Amino acid sequence: MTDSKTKKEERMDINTLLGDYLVEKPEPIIGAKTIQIFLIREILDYTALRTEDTKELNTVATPLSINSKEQISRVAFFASKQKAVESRELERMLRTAVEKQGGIENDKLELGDNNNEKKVKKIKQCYLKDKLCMECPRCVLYGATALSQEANIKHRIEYSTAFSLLPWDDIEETITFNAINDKNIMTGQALGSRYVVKPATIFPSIVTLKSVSREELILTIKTLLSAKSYGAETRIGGDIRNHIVGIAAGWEEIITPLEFTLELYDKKINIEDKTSLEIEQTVVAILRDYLQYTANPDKIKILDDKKEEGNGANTGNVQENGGQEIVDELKTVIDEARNQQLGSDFLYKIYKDVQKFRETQS
Amino acid sequence: MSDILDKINLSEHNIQTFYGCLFLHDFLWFSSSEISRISTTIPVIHNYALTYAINQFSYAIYQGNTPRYFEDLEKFSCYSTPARSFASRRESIMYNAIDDLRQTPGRDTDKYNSPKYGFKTVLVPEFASRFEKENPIAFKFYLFTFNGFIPPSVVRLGKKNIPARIYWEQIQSSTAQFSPDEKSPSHPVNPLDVNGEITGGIISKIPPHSFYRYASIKNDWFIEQKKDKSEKHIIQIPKRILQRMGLTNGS
Ligand SMILES: [Zn+2]
Repeated sequence: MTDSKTKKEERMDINTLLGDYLVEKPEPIIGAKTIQIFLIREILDYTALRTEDTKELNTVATPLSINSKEQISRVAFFASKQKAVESRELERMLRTAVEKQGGIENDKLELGDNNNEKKVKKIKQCYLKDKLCMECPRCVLYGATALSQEANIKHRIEYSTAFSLLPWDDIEETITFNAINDKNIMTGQALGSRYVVKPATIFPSIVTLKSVSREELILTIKTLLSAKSYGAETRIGGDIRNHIVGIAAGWEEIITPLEFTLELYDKKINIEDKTSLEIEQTVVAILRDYLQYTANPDKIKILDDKKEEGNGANTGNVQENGGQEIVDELKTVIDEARNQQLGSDFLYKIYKDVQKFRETQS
Repeated sequence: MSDILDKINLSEHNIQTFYGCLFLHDFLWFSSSEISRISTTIPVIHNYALTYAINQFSYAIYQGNTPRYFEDLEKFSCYSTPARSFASRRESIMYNAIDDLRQTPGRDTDKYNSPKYGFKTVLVPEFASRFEKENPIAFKFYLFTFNGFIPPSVVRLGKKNIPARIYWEQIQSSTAQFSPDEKSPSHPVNPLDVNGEITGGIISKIPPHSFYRYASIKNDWFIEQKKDKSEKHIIQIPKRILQRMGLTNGS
């Protein structure tokens, strides 16, 4: 059957592009299979990214760019602040999807798996931080520490501090306000200040997945695209849009977020005057350059634009270009994730995977 | 095997040695000492932590908090010395603090319902290009790899699995020599790795147990190789590596 399969029929999808770096279902040991998702986190509103004690923005000294030793300050968007929002977003998404297919919140996971009914009937409530259910896909991907006798679950999604593309003094703003609005908490102080980053500030960022399934990759992409509100004081700011600008897979990570920022600064990345394809190509070029450091360069797949002769691919991500077709692999993966319905079949698979994973503990 | 064996060739046993210069690319917090609510991080990295990180191995599901070092290390494709930095910068930051509205934490009246807070000293992120890898900020160490394993260059460290970049250089000399005389390795030393005798040094306390930031050792095995200028790599061969080669003592 595979013999008769022509190139034309080989539909490009997540499994053909990244299947070598995915597991069938979560396994008890985390191995080397790695997928890095490259993001540009674009601030849409005044956003407070700060330590709690001083209320100032978190900053860190870094070189100006990959080729400049000049030390400047950058705003740091802590890993924990990204992770908290996205972990909650995934929990909310799962709960809503289960409710929508008729499941309910209860005190125990229950799967309906007669032949004619494969459905998640009941899920346990799962809240950060002290009421993690330990039996949902969020807990299995983001990790959870047991309060009782149960086994702990280690996270397989890695976050890192993101460093602002531009130096601190280009993006910082101090907003002075009349503290009277904050009721009696701040009595005695006439004025207060909020230290924020301005709209249009960019944070290059990387989310890394280790030994995840296709479904977990899809959930992660959906989560990154739907998470919108970050930082302190989210009721008066903190809107962020995440752009996925690259995906690379391998037996190791290729580049760190700090390097990613310094490289992008050097290449004068500017999401306003570049098309998304141009940004993706810049990211691909950076990643290619870092292959020289990797232990297993032959095991690395960087999603790229593929030129193909004739009428090859049949996804929607094809552009005609003088007889050649350009297939955007990144868009193929993102679209597949975006279009994946969180219906009964998908939910059943991911909750069943969790159940099997939990049975492996001993 | 000769009775008075004083030289061993590691490559004959399929063992390669690498020199690593590691740079933290995020804030690192190891709870190397915790007194009351102040926690500090000293600029040393335990060799078990490094070995796990470089092997990219961990359990997705595990019972309790007891690590299985000895079982795990047996299975790994490499083994590392501890690492130290001479100049990494530290910063004190507050964690787990207060709600958004409050200006200062820990007011007495809030004793019962205020969230826990504390300060922690963290090591700050540092960048250096591969041309500046000898920078004193770098955490320097040595790695023994087995059966052709090539170590990754981006690894994850610490409680929060922060990313770090390692620039590697293979040590060309693979001959270890037994030295009855005292030598000071150019790396920190885990006392459990010493086959000979520790004659002096400076101890650092870091979980799971203490090790020597600087040590003088005699009656043990070392690889020596010229570095640049007057510097030298002096690498003490861990007991685990000697055992792997079927050797545990010097004669
Ligand atoms: Zn859960």
